[in-house]
Amino acid sequence: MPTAILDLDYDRLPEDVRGLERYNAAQVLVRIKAMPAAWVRVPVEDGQVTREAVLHAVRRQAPHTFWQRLAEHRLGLLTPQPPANLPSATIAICTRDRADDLKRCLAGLQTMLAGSYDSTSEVLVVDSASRMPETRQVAESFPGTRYIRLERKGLNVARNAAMRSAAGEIVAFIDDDAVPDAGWLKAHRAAFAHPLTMASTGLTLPLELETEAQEQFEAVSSFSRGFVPRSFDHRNMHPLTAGRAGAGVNMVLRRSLVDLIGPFDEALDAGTPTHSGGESELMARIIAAGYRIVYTPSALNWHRHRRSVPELRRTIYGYGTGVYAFWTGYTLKEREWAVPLVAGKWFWYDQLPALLRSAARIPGAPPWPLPWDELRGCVAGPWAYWRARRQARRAQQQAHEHSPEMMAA
Amino acid sequence: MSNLTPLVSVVIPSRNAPASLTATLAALAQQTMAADCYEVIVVGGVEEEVTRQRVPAGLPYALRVHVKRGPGASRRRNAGAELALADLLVFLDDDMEPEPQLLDAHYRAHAGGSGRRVVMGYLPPDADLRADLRAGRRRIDWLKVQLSDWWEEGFAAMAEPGHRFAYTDVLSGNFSLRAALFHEAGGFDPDYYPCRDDFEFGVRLLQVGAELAFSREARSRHDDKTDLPRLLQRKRDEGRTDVQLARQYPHIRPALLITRQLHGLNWPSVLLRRVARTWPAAAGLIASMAVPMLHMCERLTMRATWPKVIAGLLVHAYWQGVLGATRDWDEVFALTTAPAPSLGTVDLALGIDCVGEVLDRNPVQGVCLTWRGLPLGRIEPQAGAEPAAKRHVEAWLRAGGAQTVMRAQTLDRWLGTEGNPATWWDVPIMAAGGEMVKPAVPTVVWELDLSQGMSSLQPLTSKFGQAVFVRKAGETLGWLYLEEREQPRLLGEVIYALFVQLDPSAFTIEW
Repeated sequence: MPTAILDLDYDRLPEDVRGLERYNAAQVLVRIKAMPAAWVRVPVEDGQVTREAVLHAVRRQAPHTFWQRLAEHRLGLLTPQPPANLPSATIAICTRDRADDLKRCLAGLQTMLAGSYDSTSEVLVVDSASRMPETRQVAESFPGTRYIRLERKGLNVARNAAMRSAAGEIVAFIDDDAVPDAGWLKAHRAAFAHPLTMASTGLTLPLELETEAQEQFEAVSSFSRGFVPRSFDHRNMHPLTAGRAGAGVNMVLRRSLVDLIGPFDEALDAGTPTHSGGESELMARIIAAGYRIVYTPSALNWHRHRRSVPELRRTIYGYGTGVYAFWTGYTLKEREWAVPLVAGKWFWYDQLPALLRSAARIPGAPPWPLPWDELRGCVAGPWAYWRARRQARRAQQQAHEHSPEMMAA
Repeated sequence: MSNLTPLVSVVIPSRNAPASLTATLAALAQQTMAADCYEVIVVGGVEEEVTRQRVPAGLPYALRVHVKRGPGASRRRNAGAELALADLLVFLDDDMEPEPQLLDAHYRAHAGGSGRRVVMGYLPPDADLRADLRAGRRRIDWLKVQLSDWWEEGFAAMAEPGHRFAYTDVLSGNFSLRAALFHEAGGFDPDYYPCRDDFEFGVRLLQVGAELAFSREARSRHDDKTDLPRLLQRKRDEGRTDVQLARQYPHIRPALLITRQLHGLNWPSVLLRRVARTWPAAAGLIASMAVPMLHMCERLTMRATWPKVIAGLLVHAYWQGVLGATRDWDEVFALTTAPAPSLGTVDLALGIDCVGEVLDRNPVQGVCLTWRGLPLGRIEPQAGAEPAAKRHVEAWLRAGGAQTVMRAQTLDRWLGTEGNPATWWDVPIMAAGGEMVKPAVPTVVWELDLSQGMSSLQPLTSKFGQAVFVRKAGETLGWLYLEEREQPRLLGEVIYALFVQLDPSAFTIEW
């Protein structure tokens, strides 16, 4: 049975939400003063979710921080921050042959920008060598959207192109299969107040949980990093585990970062044999260089997870490959010798127990064979990185030989 | 240039008039504040001509160069303050490059104040220094990152709205105060040299009731040239001058590292402290071993070990300084005893604004926060810090206290004691008929329905121990276990038990 997604404000809970006959449960985002504060599961009865049921679920499931936030709200301590000097922003969508998703994303961005009276931020669609013409058509149907096309595929290639051609001080990356919340960009821009903050990540919740695969993804590999703002740097995070700070689906970077620590590694992430790991590798370098990554739950967007189980399995396999590919590359380039230690810990304390529990079909364990897929991906990672690096080198050489833009540079 | 009295006097002590002084003076010409509103006084320690050579041509503001010889920047700062014409003094160092809005920001931070304000400016970290591929460097200098992290930690703490300002927040570069307050506090003490002159001035500023504040807008670039040898030398000086501080101001002793590192160090640090005492000549050996060790840590990316090595070195250097300035270990112990801090109690049921007024009228170091007599939390006394105020109570609320207060408010509403000035504690619980409820010892199970007030505290059976089944309008909240006793039970005891024993979520049904 699918799960409904609801977005409710604690101060303005409706008496009931009707028309949920297709669902037997609902995941409810509960907000306090527009800020996301809790994510609770409420049963659907007779096709509706009642106010009482939501309150009951909040009392049982909401974290300690929810009550603290609510208490501060009730005591009048949640005063709005005075508007600071917000940096100018470029919103970048790297996309490849997903015109329908792109359309929803661009429409969401348009609504968000209009709702916050933001006319300074630009929207940039980076077409990563799409085979179909729809991507260009969709991008051009939204006025004010800038479109650039790359002939070489690869998510990190597209991200580097976005960083190069962006006009804003910060570049906000959003996946084409995600939709921003009304306060998404504003929260990210406010996160860059500190000069050492080089990246900002946000909360990503599922746009829909309609299929078994989407439920499984949310259970196994949720993007959510909780409802407490956090700041990561080399004192509380090891570079190799920088992926914990957030994911590329909801990530904003300072543009000057490229000059300071270098661009994305073009041998990593979608479109290459390594499948993922691109943003984790960049975040690792951010942490290792002594900069900060800030996590802001108010910077919320909604992601449509993969709908079918084969797609999900490929994604999970790709995550495993990406992590090990990133670690391989990082050891070679940055001489970070802690990789076997971190990898061993991850295997012994997380991966192996998950694999055994999943194989034994223990309730609450990740569904079989996802842990196995992840592990297979890990094993393939180093080899994938080696192949991807060769491909990237060759492509770069060709680009140097043929591209007039590169020649000029 | 007008003949009007300037609004701001900028004082820059500059002993040897380094090349960076030129950049400081040039940056002061780019201020958003009009040039005839401020004057700049450079107090050099060498011949006036030498200092004058550093002055760029065509400065739009009034500049005076003065010479004051002698060790330490304190003499030069005092001399500059004597010469200042303006009501507001801004102190800068000769290795700083103020950003254009700095003087404006300092001036605005004092506007509307009581005249007792001391505003600390911000020295932002240099983002480029951390990793700069343009310079062709592959490795990041961990010591630089560590140093800038220490600065940042200090500034980030000061920027928190509920920060408890202390003497340690006073920095002698990039800060501003009224000239009258500077002279009232007595200026800098040249005996504190080469460091802790700022802290010592901070102690006296707080003694005359200064209000410390922080302004992120008052930004200045700061060229920090600290390397490991300088850092260790500085730590030794700090150890020596901390002894001086401890002798002069017993009340700040608990805040000094001498006291804080006396106990609780890990064993390698204790060993190093012992080495500093029994074998002073080993300092050179340790320093020469430290550099290759730190390099090895960086090479092998031993991220967890590197900070420990640095911390150990700093402990050793600091205690070398302390032990060099004291006769024996007994004297060190004697320097860690302090007079008792002043303590007070305020009741949060009065309302937060009223609490603020009470604290302003009776300044105390530590506060016990109560609700109708029931202790909910405390603001710890902090040596050498400003007295507790309303914003510290608010910080306590933000750090988790808000939930406790909401629980207390909820109980107030349930029990109908809102607006009742009496404390909770000593009210005997009366039964519905007005008689005192006497628990039937030894074993009673009571039922308490909070929607009917405490009078519903009724014995149920006499079988299962002295437990109270708590409900609110039919909804189960949980169980309390009370101690057995003969006398009538006091309301405060039951409420205390409600707080301590009930699950916090039990109170949230009506939030």
